[in-house]
Amino acid sequence: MPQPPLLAIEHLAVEFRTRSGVVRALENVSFAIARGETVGVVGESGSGKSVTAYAVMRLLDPSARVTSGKIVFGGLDMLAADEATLAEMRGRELAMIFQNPRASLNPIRRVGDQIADVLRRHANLGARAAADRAVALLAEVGIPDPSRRARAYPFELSGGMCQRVGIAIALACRPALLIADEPTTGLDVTTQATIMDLVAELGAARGMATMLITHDLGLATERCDRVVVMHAGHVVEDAPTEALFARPRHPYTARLLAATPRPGVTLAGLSPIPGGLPDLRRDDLPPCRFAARCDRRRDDCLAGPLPLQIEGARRVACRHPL
Amino acid sequence: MSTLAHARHVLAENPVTAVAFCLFALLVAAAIAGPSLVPYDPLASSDRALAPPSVQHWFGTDNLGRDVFSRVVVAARLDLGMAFAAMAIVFATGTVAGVAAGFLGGWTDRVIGRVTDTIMAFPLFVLAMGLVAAAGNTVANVIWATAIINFPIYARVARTEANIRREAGFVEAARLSGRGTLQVMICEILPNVLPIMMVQVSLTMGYAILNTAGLSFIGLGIRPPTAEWGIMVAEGAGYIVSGEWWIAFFPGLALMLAVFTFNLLGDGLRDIVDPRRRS
Amino acid sequence: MNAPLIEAEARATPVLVASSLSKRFPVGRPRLFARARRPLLHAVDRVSLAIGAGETVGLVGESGCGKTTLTRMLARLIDPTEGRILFGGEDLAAIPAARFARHPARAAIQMVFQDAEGSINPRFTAFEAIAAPLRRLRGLRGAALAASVERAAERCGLPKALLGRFPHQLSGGQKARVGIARAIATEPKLLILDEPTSALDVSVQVVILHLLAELRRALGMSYLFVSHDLNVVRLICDRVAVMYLGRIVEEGPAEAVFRSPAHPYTRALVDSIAIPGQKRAGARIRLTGDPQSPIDPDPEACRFHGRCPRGEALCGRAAPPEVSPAPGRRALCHFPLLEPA
Repeated sequence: MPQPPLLAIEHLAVEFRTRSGVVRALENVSFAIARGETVGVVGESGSGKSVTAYAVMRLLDPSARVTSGKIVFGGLDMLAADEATLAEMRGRELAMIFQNPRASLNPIRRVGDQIADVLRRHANLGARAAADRAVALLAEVGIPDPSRRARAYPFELSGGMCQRVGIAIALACRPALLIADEPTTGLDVTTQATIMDLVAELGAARGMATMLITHDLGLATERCDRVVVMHAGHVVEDAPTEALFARPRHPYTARLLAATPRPGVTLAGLSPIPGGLPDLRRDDLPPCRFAARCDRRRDDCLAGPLPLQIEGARRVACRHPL
Repeated sequence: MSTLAHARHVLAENPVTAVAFCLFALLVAAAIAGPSLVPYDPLASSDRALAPPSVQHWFGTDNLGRDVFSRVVVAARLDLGMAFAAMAIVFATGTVAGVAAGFLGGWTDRVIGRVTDTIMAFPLFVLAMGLVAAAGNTVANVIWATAIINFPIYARVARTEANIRREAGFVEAARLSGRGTLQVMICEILPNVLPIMMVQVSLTMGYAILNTAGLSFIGLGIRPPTAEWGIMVAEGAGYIVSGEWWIAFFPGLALMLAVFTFNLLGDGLRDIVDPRRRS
Repeated sequence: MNAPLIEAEARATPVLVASSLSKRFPVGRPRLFARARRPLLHAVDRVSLAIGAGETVGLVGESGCGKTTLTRMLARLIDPTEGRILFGGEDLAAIPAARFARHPARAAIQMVFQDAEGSINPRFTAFEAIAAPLRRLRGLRGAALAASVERAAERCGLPKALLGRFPHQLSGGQKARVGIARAIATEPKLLILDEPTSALDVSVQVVILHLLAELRRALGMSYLFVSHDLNVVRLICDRVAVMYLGRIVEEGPAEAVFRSPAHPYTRALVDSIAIPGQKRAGARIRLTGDPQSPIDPDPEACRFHGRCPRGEALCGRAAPPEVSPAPGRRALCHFPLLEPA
């Protein structure tokens, strides 16, 4: 019997209450991550990728409301759990690294202390032991001269090094799942590669699963076992990486690929995706939120609930997939 | 969202700010229309001295039989007027000096920095006292003194705001458009700094009113028989022990209300003006 | 006209030639009684680059390599420590940046910024942002000004109705268009684009790249295109220059450089490109070791020594010469690689 997934998101719906109305940020989002698996969540801005990550961590803005669905992590119902249980989980079993590495570090505390904080909170280490382990972790993430750097402040370190510190903090207690929210945006291409290598190596060594959120299809191709494509708060396609890109079945996935610069395609050969994101504040949103922009739209695309086509390991949310 | 709509939203969410705006309107009305609307001549003495508050004299009368209510309302013009004048002076000079220091840096920054440091080396009220005592006991000098002691904070705020924007993309774009350094400062930086400085005005207005009143309390600046809150508190102070509390109480209350209003106003204005607080 | 002929023409009529440009910043606090000279940070070191008419030259390199400083020097926003910038028959480097605002060439070199929102004054409308260079550099007023602004906006696909909006009321793509409209309003000869699409979604990026290609053709401009997205650089650039720690380590026709990089750093860069949809075949070249410091670098050593997979003893003893591995290409290396990647 196959193992139950480490993280299972089922029919998740999240709304935000804003001044200009209720934003239906996520609707019917379902996907799962198995132990040790690296799953990429891709989509353009406004697709709901980050909202999903924050929902899993239960770190959503106070104006957000989960209106339906379940998030089960390691057997625990995340939406029903109380704050104390969640605080135990975060840092120990579930960790996150963020887009702007400098912004996620406390600017007025030394980086070694910030790593030690996590160790003292979750691994129950004393001050001395935590400090030593922090230095060891800095060495693990490839920071040269770790004992000296542990006493550095974030502003003294480069962007790449700050991201390594962020990884050290996240991985300090050997979490089962790492959520990486656009971890390489703003980093040089060589630093990007090194950082992602680090995450992959450390992850493989511990059987850690990774949810990699990115808008960079190249990154997703290289690093992920499976890719979940999101559009306007919906999951539109969910398939193993190679199969997804070799033969996309959802029109949005195909158009996303067609708009991405890659070798062998000239500028004239790239085509933008027509239209724009629908206004998520409307209460008359159709079941398929891509239909308005889709050139394959048929009459029955806007009628009735959206079916989920399952073909082996792939799921497509389209009435007429490619 | 437009400024007006955002302003309406802020007022709706913060009833306290809305109250502050109403009080502000009331104070300004008192300052402008007060002297023509008060029931009694503020300078006219009568034989009904030291009368407690009653229907005829809402705030009672003082030791010379003058109606306290009329004097309190009329004094608004003087107190607010002097504070406004001082704030206008320091707003203009402090903003320009601060922006120049923050944007140009170098010697401009150092010189202006030393000037502000010198002023801040003294306890500000004592400095004001010293300046008025030395320069002469006139209304004009009180205004100048108030302006001078508020200069450092305006210059500093303006300097910080200009400094933050010094390396901004739009400054580079302005240079590409052919603007010289002075033009960039005046046409690009200043419009961004002004709204923040206006918030600063209302925040320090309360302090300026207190300063003016404080100086006249100790006998510098306004002289009796002019109606002014500070003098009235000074005159009424001696009568509290003998039980005639209303002579000092009502002008003191007016002072408190004015300072309170401007502080709240400043907070509310900041919420309206600061684009980062718009969600 | 076929491509090689255009290339030859471009080289024959360069729009801008930068000659041995350097920018050095003193580091540390100024001391009143300095005994030793303050250390110098070599942000840009003897960079020579020619941009031909109608050509798009790409500029790539990691952060700290000096590309920003170089672009600011070419745009005459900062002064070079030494070197020449030949443009329109005169040496622009001889004119101090503070006085360049009034020079006739100011209108001929313009720039598009990465952060479109930050590059527009938050208190200006889109109209005012686009009008600023026309007002100052072309002396237009009133109806003539409005007409020019509208023409620039129209060229950039910006609807007239949006001209009255403020930056925070515009979408990412719209802000990018305002930035471009402002830059092309004076019909410059050279447009410097500093990561113009890196903050945009991939679909909007396509539209903006198409727009830029169309504008280049219509207005006969040359582009200096700075980007860290090598897939985009390969897509739209005729030639590419690779910078490392202040020096240009390789330069040549874009396709040739990407296909067979001569400098080991370029090879590592090209190798690290992730191709969307295609999993990598073999292992990636890894750069180990720390980059050298740009402060007072050793003049008798290669800047890439210590990180270079090919490092030999000579690399630490002598500065590399500029060699030409193929016609039209140059590389700064003792041991350039000649076979394709």
